[in-house]
Amino acid sequence: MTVLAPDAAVEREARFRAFVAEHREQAVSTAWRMLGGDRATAEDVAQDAFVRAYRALDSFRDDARLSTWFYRILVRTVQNRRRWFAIRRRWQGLFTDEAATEDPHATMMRRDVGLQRRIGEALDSLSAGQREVFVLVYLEGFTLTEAAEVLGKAPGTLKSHLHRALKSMRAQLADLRLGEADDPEGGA
Amino acid sequence: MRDDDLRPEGPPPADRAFLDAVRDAYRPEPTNAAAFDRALRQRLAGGARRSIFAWGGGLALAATAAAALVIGLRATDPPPAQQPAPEGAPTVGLNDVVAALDLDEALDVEADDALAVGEEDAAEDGPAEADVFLALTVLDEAPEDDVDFADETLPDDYLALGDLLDVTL
Repeated sequence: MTVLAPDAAVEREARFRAFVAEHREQAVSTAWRMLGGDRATAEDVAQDAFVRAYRALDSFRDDARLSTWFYRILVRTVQNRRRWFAIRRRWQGLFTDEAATEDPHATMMRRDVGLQRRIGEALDSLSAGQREVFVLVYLEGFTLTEAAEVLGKAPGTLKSHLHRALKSMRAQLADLRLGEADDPEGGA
Repeated sequence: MRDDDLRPEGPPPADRAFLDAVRDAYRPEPTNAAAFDRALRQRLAGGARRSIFAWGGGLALAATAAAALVIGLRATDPPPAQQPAPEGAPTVGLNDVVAALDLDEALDVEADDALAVGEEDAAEDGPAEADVFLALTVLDEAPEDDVDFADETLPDDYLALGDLLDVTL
């Protein structure tokens, strides 16, 4: 184990605090949107990614590279959580009445109402690849290049995912007329 | 595709209003920064660190048991992984496990990534979770054909997955 000199340790702590302050909101938001609106799980995922970033801090002198790596970890953790949701649903479905199962994802979806629930369901219906790039680029403001680095996929592939995701989202939410002047549920 | 085909990166103008509306409607409440940072500090200190997943090891066991159940439902008696499979004996397909556990998304994960994450988690959360990640890694590399887990000529990862399922059975 490397023992840092006091000044280096202070500098490291300050760097980490600044990193958390800069990315806290977006990390939670990204996880929340990818997970379908589960606040507690989103914060848990974000904290897990920050813990990993803290441990890897010395490996990244460049904060931009640390940031890319951080969001890659965040997205992977989200993927893992979603897998567990699926596994748990399947597991519970084998032995119990699925309708009576207290699934966190289902519970979360029941709590959501109106527009958020509709958007969450539409996002949930996308493939993992489509959902991730849609959230990163269209909802979180990543550039296509940044998203490609985070997701480890070619920009052209992501562009295709984006196109399909947007088309699907528009179709699923067409009845809400989102973005139109007389949007009937814009404030729901 | 040329690089300039990727620009501009923003959505088509006709979709901007739609996406603005989605973005505005589908956002979390602001984070309580103080509470978040306090919990993060606790986690870093190891004092109140939560498991990687809210359900922790219990869920890992549940997932493993679910996989085992799939094997068990299809296996002859005794399970094929516990003794050399006779010729013509039914084998359990990894694709069956994928389908039964609804693990389609696992196939999106690159094997190296899954393994790396599994190794990290193994260091932090003990072997149960690492075993499940191993399973996911193997599933990610699964061929189309069924696999006989009793075949000792299989690569180590397959045998490890077989052992994992066998132990649970």
